[in-house]
Amino acid sequence: MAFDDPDAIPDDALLVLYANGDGEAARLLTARLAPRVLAQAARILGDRAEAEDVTQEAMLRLWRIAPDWRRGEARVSTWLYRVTANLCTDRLRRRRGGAAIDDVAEPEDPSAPVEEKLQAQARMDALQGALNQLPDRQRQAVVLRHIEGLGNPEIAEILEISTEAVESLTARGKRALGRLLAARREELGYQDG
Amino acid sequence: MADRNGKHTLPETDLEALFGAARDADRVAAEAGELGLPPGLSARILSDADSLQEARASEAQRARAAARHARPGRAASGLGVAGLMPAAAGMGGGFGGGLAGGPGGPGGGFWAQLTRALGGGPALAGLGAVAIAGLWVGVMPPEALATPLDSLFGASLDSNPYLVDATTAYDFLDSEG
Repeated sequence: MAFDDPDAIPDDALLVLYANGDGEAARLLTARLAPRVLAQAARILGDRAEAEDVTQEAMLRLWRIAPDWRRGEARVSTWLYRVTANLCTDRLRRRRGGAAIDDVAEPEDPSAPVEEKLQAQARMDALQGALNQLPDRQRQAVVLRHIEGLGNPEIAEILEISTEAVESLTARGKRALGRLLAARREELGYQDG
Repeated sequence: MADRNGKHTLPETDLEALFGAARDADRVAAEAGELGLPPGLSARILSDADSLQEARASEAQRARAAARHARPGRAASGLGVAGLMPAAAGMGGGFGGGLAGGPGGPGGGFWAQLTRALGGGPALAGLGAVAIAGLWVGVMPPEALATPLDSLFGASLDSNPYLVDATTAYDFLDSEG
């Protein structure tokens, strides 16, 4: 099926189309949602390969639930963020006591000069390194609030906690990040002033 | 810079700048859609989607086939609208066969089909008995029924709308001269 304006079709409508056998709907949903799932998983897990596996698994769960999806009850993106958060939590639990994790490779900006690219990469590596040191729930809350840019009520729905608990987690997470990154301030190119 | 607990911390603005840079990186990847995904991941995701769709389609096909096989049994029982459809089609065939004088349809000739459509021999016998009883009550109403019927339909000739005045206008003229 060809869509005149695919961007105008809501996620849940695409999901219904997919459940009715429309293959193009699956392609549109993948293009729209999978990059966000991958970004969330990569920030939380700090490992690109694992994040890709989580993305595939989360999308598979979306395909499976498609025939039973009840329109208007929940947002597809919120549901997917929650599935991703749970899959990441499972992986972090399995990883406990475990091996060192690879840093997340950031997408490169081809237009930036080499020095700026290196600086940007160093900052992202430092942020990811600090995120990796946060407790799981704090990390999830900080990523969803400050990087994915979601509101506290939506995060509360995703993590299945109260809005107050989200506020507390993000505040503590942010303070911990500040302390973890303080020593690297000059190295990251931040000046006083 | 120290926080309120006296611990050294990154200033809020620097932390916000870091978050902003991470958001920008993710936004670039998200706006690229499928291209923002690592090679192979998109294909794996879509392959999963296709496999599930195919599995569901063949499951639905099997269910439809099973329903088709189950239908003749329902028709034989004579229950339900779907069960009656083949019988009606058979009756059409019977009509055609009977009129053409050729071989009958699956259900036989017209009267045989009509008898079956009305419910078979016992049902026809019951129908006949009821018709005869109705006719008998009409011709010879029992005493207990006759009085209420008279009062209901009106025993008075004056008010009976079915009575016709046999005198004509010419009779009136004749009498006046």
